[in-house]
Amino acid sequence: MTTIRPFRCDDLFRFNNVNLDPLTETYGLPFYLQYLAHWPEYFQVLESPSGEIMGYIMGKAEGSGEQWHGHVTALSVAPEFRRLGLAGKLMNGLEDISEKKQCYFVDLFVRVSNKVAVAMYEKLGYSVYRRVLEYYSGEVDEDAFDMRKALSRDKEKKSVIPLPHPVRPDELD
Amino acid sequence: MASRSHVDINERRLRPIYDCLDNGNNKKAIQEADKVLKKQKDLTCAKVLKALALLRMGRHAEGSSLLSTIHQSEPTEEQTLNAMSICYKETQQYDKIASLYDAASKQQPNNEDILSCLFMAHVRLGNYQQQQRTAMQLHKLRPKKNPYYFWAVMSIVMQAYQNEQLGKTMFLPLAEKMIKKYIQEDKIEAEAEIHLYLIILELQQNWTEALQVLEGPLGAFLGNELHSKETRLATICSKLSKWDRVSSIYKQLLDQMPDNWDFWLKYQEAVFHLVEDSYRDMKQEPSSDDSTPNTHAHLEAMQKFIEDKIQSMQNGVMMRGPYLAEIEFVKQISIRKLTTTSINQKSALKLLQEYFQHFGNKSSCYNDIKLYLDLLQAQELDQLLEFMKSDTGLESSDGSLIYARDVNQLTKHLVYLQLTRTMGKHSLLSIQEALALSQELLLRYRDGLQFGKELLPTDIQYSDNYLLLAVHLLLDVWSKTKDDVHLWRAIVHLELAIRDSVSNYQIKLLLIRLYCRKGVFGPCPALYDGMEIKHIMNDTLGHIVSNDVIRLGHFMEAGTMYATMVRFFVVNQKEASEHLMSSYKFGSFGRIHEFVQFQERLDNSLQYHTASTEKMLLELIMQTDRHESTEAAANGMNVHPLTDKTIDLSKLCDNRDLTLALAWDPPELLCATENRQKSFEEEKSWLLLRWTLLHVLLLAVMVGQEMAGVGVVNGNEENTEKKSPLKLLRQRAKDLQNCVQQCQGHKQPNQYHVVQGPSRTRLAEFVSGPHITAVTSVIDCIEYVYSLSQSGLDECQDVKVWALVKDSTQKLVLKDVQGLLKDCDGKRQLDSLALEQLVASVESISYITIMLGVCSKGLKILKNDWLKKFKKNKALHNSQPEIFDKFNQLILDVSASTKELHQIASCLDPVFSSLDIASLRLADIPDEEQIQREAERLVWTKVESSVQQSSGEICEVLHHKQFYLNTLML
Repeated sequence: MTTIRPFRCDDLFRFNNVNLDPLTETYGLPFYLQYLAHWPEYFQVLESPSGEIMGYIMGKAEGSGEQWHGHVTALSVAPEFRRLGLAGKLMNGLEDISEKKQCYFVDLFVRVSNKVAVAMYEKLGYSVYRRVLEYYSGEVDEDAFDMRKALSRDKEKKSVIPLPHPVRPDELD
Repeated sequence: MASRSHVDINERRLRPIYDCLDNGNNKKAIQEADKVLKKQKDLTCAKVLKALALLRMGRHAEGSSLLSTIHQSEPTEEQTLNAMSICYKETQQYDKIASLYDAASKQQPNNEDILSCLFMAHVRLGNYQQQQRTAMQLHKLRPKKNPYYFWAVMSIVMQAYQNEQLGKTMFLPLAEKMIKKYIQEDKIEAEAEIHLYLIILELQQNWTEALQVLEGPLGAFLGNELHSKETRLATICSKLSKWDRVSSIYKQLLDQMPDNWDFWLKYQEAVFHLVEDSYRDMKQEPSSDDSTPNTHAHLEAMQKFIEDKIQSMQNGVMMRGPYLAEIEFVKQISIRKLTTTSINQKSALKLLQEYFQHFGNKSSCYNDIKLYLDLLQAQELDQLLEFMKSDTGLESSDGSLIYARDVNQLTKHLVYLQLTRTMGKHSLLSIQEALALSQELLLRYRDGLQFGKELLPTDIQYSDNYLLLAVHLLLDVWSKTKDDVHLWRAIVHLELAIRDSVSNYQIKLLLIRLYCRKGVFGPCPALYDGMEIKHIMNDTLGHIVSNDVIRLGHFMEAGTMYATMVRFFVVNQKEASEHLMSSYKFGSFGRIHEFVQFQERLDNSLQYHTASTEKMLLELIMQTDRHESTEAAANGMNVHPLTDKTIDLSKLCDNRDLTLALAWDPPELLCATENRQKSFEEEKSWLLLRWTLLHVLLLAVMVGQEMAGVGVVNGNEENTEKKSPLKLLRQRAKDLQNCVQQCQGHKQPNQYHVVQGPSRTRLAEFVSGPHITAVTSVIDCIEYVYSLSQSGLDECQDVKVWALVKDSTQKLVLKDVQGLLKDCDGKRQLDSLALEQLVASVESISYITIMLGVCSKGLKILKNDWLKKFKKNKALHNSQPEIFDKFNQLILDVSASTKELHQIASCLDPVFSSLDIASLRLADIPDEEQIQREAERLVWTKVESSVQQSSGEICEVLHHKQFYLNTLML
């Protein structure tokens, strides 16, 4: 049991327990503020009854024509609040908003090594659309899966037909 | 067409300059610009780009004068204006961007682009009145473009925030009228416009009108955000006390989302209002009998609603919401002292037991249950613990250890243990019992590691909290016995645990805390970096290291850390207005005030002001081995001692995240709120003292420059009245003494909770030690030298100023330092206090050296003058005035004290004191614990090299100071 509410600037002062997770990136302020200004409905936070931040989701809607889609930019749940199905709850919310905005699909990128996350997204109905080579830079660059789920507007589910070959980051649109 | 091709030619000519600028090749950019200007003298944009290159090369005077000439010519061409904005942005002269576009718009009043840039320039400045004016100009120019009109409305709303009184009487009514006009004329186009209307109505607390908007045709515009319309409606209805309506809205929402806690709280609040209303009605009509049908109807309905939600989960996914709602229901009844005779209600104890049964295997269960412990009596608390103990099934009656079978059981056991601690049971344990329990938890921890064998390095081990609990128990014992053995053991366990759980920041946090407690900063930077603290975390988490790094004499690391922290704030200030501008562009009006407040919170951050003050003070210590380098360092600082107002402590914001470290202690031991308050006060006093000290030093340097006849850089304003550095120095010296006076209550260092409490400052040492007296004694010397520089050597009298400096400097030399270890009741303890005092003395010696540098500067001039006179008229004076010798003698004395400090610092170095720390076995770990013994040795190596580093860096600084002092001899 959780409160879902829109993310506020002040939450940036309190989200350390979520962001100190090594797979959660802490971005520069402009990044968060741009999302808050541009896609406020896509930035939601979970709060526990005792007032801690449990996790958050950050996303946007973009693309034109049949590429109009919802995108998950960041999704993270603090370690002590895992195994509660919270990530699924946040994803459902984002999908609902994307439906309202008449998007064709929702997509996201995930490290290929992050098996827990990949499995979770699969459970939520996402499938690998393509592999993006060396998408994550670091000591050793890592590939990403671009995972997608078709929304009701994409009746024939054209948006999720997997690409046969991996792509490079500069080939992403 | 002709003009178009003209633009193209210009663009083609400018391209090479842009390319050079983009590549950072500023020199070439200037050459390219000159080439273009040779061909086309009047291509203003080329001149601007040249100015930009000059600025980027640091040739500020040339760049600025070129810019100001162009500025005066009032350019209107788009490319030129753009390039000029970039120049002004990079030099943070935002007001000039506004004046630039203002002039341009007067030349071309119908140019929409220029006006829109002017609007944004005012946004950057936060000049709401000008924003409003410009937006209205835009609106008149393009009446069909709705956004311009609403930019004006929003600018009016911002003025209302700025001035609450005028807001109520003038700005908000005006803003409301403007939107009403658009509604009446049927011109509303976007959701954002209705949002803004609602903001205005809500600010005026005009709930009735707001309700009409939401329920009327305009409400149809809303609905992009999830449930935002419903919750907004409910909020307005509760303002209007329409509780029936509120309760039914939330009931519907809960039907869709039965796990949303906020909905449950608000639903219950609404129903309890209904209950209280019906009580009141009943009292007004005492005719009815005792029973209270209405009241109970409400309560029963709520109870039924909760129960139904619980029932409906029986065969599906278990959600915590409805269960917790049931406990909340009991809590509310008890808080509101309602009689519930007819309601068949379970006891809080029973409900909490059930909750633990259902959800104990989720670690969040601890926080949930903790919220409701207040509902139970002491005896019931024991019953709850007893129940949990048997429910986990891991506590045998014969004392043998039963290990958890799986992660679920392990988590449940941890929740039980954590609650035990929260209920204060660990404080009741004897030393032996606490140590035994700690040992047991360690065994459980090690056993539990088996469940995490498949985990990735980025995951946290399931059983880590066993270890943290074991360590907390050791720290309990340490606090009680003051025997460091327990603390070192705790460190050893944590160092071992981090190997199996490299991503667990809790372990890193606690290690940093404990190492610092013992004066060992060496291992901390790696731990801190390992947490990947960046961007806004510099503000919220910088406090983890910022007090200790300098306290323990890691000067180099301190410089790096403060620079990183300050950089975050400075970069942010440059970018701050960009997202405000986007909010206007995207019509996210709700965000604008929030962004402004957010920026204020960052600008006024305690951490920012502390880090930047410490950084500058540190630069005065580190970058100075002669007075010229001091002057260079001082001039390079972004501080204007002649014009800066004293830092306003009341504006400071405490953005520190002080709840990150896990601690399960009872609230009365954690004292979280009290500690935060106390520490914030301490930090503020400390900041004021340090800020004043910094200004004293910078003003002193200015006095020296004034005596040498160098023009003093007078703040950032061009036309301020001429202020005397000396006069201000006297004032700041008085301020400094006042600071100390007001901090008399801080003579003893504050101690906060060992795991979660904030770190203390060095206020106690500076208030009770000889430091401030020593620093202020040199101010008297500066005053004296200054007066001589005005009146001449003839006025030279025998004054005591030099003797005072000598005395107070000698007091900085620590007495009776026997090295790193001291004996406490027959136990060997690492003594970090000596290190802290030594660092403070080194700092003070550095400050004194700087101020003696100022004296020396003045005296050297006097001596030269005297020598000239002497050569001209040898008969007149046959001996040199004794002031020069006295000063030289003082320098020798201070130098001697510096040498003594150097001696003490070298003695701290374990190598020089031929101390084999590694052989000491302070953690006293038995031989059979092979791995732990090994880890213990590793810890000792870290301690050794850390102390060595502190000692080495201190010696290095002192070495420089001796060199500095030598250059001051007359």
